Amino acid sequence: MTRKDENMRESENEKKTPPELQEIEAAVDRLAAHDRMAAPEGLLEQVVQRSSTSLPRQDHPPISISSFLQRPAVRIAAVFVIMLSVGVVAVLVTRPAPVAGPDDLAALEEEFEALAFLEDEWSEFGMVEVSALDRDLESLDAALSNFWGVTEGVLEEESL
Amino acid sequence: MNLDCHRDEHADLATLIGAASAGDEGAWRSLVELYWRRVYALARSRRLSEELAEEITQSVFVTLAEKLPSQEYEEKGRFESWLFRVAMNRIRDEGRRSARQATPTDPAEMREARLDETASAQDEEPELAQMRSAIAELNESDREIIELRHHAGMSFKGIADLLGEPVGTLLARHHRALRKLREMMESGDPATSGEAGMT
Repeated sequence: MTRKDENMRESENEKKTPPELQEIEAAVDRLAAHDRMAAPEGLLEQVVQRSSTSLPRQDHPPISISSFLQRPAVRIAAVFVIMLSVGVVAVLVTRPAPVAGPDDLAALEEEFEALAFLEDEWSEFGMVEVSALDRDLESLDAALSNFWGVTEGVLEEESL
Repeated sequence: MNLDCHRDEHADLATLIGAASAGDEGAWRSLVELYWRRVYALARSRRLSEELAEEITQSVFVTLAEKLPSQEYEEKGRFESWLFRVAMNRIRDEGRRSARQATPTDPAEMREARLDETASAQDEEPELAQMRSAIAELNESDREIIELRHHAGMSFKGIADLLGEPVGTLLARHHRALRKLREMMESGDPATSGEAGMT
């Protein structure tokens, strides 16, 4: 027998309360309804609160990539990163390469020539200064040798 | 009842049970809302005090919440029968405990108990109080089917699942119980009806 047949048979059976018993059945229903409605309203909250603590804890599923990508903040951040990357690439692509042209080379040669001139000037001046310093050092060396010669003579005399 | 509606109700109930078993508190609340008044009424039909009926209602749903997700609940698809079996067992246990503890032997206590009962009955309409007394005079099996059918609001199929008896037998018993109630109500004194407590 199918579920549908069972339901039909049950509903047919439940209609078969004899007419002479329908009045007393209605009276029993009135008492039952009275008892149901007599339940204090606050009891529902008490039942829910007390029994809910006995339910198993609901496991939070791990965040999937698709649900993570659907978050508004993540979407905004992704758009910002994409736009920034496109901008950087565009700037790099459109920026002119630093290639020296013929005019730049001529200017450089002029600069080098000027520097060479200065170098020669500096060398001549430097040689004069170095020669003067060399002379001063020689005279200082002679003075020191003279001092040490005198000092040795004095020490020998005293030791004797 | 429309068969499509019947199927939809079963599907909704199965969805709620599945979600509550997984710990969904919203689904659990919906289940409690469906049945809490019926469990309370079942307890009150046994003339238990309001406090005891409230305690029983709470403890029945605690038991259900504990066993719903585990292997102990082996009656998927027969949730209602399971719920009211738990409720009836709890009510019977409490009734036995109350009977052991509170049977007064002292005449003063007996008089006080009668006064309490009278005061409680005075809060109700006379017809309701008389019907309550008449139901209390039925034998256990007749009283059980009246309470499950009317206070718990169960279908005969559900009662058959709960009691493990054929629907036809239960229908015959229901009619017999109604006839006894009618006789007691017509006689005007349920307690003095001679056939009330006999099978």
